[in-house]
Amino acid sequence: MTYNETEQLIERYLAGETTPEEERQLALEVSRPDAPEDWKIIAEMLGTLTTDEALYDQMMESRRPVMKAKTRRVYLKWVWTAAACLVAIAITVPLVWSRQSTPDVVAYVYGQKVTDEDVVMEMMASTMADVLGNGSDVVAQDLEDIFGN
Amino acid sequence: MTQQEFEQIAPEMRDEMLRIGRDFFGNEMDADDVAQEGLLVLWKMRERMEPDRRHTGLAIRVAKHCCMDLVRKRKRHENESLPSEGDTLRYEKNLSATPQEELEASELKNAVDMAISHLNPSERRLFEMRQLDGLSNDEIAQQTNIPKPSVKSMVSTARKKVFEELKRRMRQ
Repeated sequence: MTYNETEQLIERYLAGETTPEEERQLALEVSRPDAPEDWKIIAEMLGTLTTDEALYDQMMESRRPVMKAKTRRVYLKWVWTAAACLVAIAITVPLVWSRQSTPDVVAYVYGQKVTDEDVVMEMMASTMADVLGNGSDVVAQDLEDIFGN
Repeated sequence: MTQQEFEQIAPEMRDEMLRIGRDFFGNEMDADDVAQEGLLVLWKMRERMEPDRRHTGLAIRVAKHCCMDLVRKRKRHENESLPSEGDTLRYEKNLSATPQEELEASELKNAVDMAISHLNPSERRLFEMRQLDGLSNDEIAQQTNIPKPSVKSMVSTARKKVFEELKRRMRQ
């Protein structure tokens, strides 16, 4: 802020026209050690609370780029973590899926490989019915049929 | 505001001041110092604090002042530096006054207090609502039911009176 701009702001301050934000700006200008005597009076009239609030806000503002950079670093870290998780999921899900779709039930009936659980159970039930219902001769014949050749 | 009324709003104001201290220093110990010092400042101001108004804004301003005060004290002792981030040189002018400058500032502050005490009660009230509470003319108009142009006019009159009295004193 130039000397003239500060003087104009002082005029507006004395006329009661300045906003609190303009007064904080003015407080920083008039509290310089080399400020003219009139400016020092204005600084004291604005008060320590106004000057220190202006200083606080300015210092916090000056830290913001650092904070933004930190925030950006944290953000990138999360993006990489998310990407790694997606890759892991993309690899794991098809593997698990393919394992799940591998048949757990395998039976060989009359030399044929059967993997359908329902079919195997149906055959077993039918075989048991045959075994229980038809006596030992039939079972023997069946065993002969299965293992004989 | 009575002691009891102050004690009722103190926890809320303390929380606000802790937040400000934490944001600035980034640690609980300094934030605690800011809140404790801030409550002390507010306690001294309690007579001019109106019970039916919110004082969070004032508490925030006081907390920011306490943060700067802590920085000044540390700078004076030269044991600890200013927060390292940012361009600290820009603030040297406001944070490193010599004892002579501090004495002059203290005398000037007393003179300002004296000049303010010579204002009529309504001018003084509005002057302080701008100076201490940091309120705008709009906010003062809302809180006091005084029309905004009248607020502006009274604030201006008060400020000009104080300024002229101080100039007169400094010439003597």
